[in-house]
Amino acid sequence: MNGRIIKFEGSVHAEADRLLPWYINGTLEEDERVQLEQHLAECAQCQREAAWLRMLQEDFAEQAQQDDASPQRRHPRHHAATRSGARPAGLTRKRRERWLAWLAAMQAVAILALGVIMFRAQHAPYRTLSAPGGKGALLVVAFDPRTTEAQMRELMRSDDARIVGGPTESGVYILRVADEREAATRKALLASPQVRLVEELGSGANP
Amino acid sequence: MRKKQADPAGENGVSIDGEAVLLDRVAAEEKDAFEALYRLYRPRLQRFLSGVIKQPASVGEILDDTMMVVWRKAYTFNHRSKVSTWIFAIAYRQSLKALRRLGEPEVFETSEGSDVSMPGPDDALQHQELRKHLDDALGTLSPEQRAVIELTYYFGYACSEIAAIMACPVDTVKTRMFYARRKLKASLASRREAI
Repeated sequence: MNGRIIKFEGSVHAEADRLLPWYINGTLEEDERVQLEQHLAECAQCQREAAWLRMLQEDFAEQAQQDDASPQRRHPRHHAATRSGARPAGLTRKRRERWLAWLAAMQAVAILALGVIMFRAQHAPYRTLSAPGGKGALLVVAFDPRTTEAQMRELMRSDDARIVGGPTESGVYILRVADEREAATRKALLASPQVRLVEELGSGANP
Repeated sequence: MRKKQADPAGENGVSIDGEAVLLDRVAAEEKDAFEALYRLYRPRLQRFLSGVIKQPASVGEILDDTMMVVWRKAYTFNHRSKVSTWIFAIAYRQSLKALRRLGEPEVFETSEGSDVSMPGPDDALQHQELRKHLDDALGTLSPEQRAVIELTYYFGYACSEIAAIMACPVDTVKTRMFYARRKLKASLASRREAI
């Protein structure tokens, strides 16, 4: 009897382990999900594995966001699961870590914003002198730190922009574009995966 | 301050039924329907094929081959599966055909010595490593294993749907995923040791 129980428990674990990826992506049938959660509640190994698979899933989800893969382009259940999906108990710590990581990211954005404000303050005289002359609009842009010089050049070329200042210590550049191209250039920059922030330099002075 | 945001205009609001109607129109050789279907599926197929074959230069060609089959075989779609499953199945077959042409091996179902002890997931560094090395680690998988990973995590398919796309039993999908996970971890662990 003992032997049978051990064998049964072993196969439950093996089957649970093999189903974990689809538990994480939220596509298991209800009965499979309930069974797996029962096992997960008492199996530390599966909890660790689920946490690792959750990280993997999150990385793919981030890629999908970068690829502009909208929910409609992806599987509808995947989206629902990501939004509401039941999470294994062992994931609470990982979620907390991700929350902290999110906070750190928001802090980084705040620092960047501060950099932009300081940059604007420092360069206000240039703006007031150049703007009325019709030489073009000024945009403050923060690139992703991984952006290469070649990518930056290509962006400038395709958007018909010119770097006229920067980088500041916080990595902010100032770009000049023709007045009539400003809206299109800003839109194009915002759409680029290499650009993190775009701010119209003139907007602060002329609300 | 204007923050960069995902473009909501990029969303394609075509329902599952809408896709089936579109494919019916393709079967009736309506070219505008085919163009709409092509536009709808090109980003998804580009991503899927890139993930499976890992040869960017060949992706465009396989995508075109896939859509050519969709055009020619649309009349065989029997509405028993979703349009996406049907099209992904074609793309998967086309990618395997291309890999054969390119002389790539198709199936590695064994662990190939990758049975290493698994690193613990509760290390904050591990996520950074995963992000940094995931693409390289995916390159160590077989095309079949990459397909399972992509279809599960990027596209969010259920195991049974992946089995339909890959024309194999559900257990085979589970096995491929099992070894894919092992290999990924082994690859990431070896990269960590190399640092």
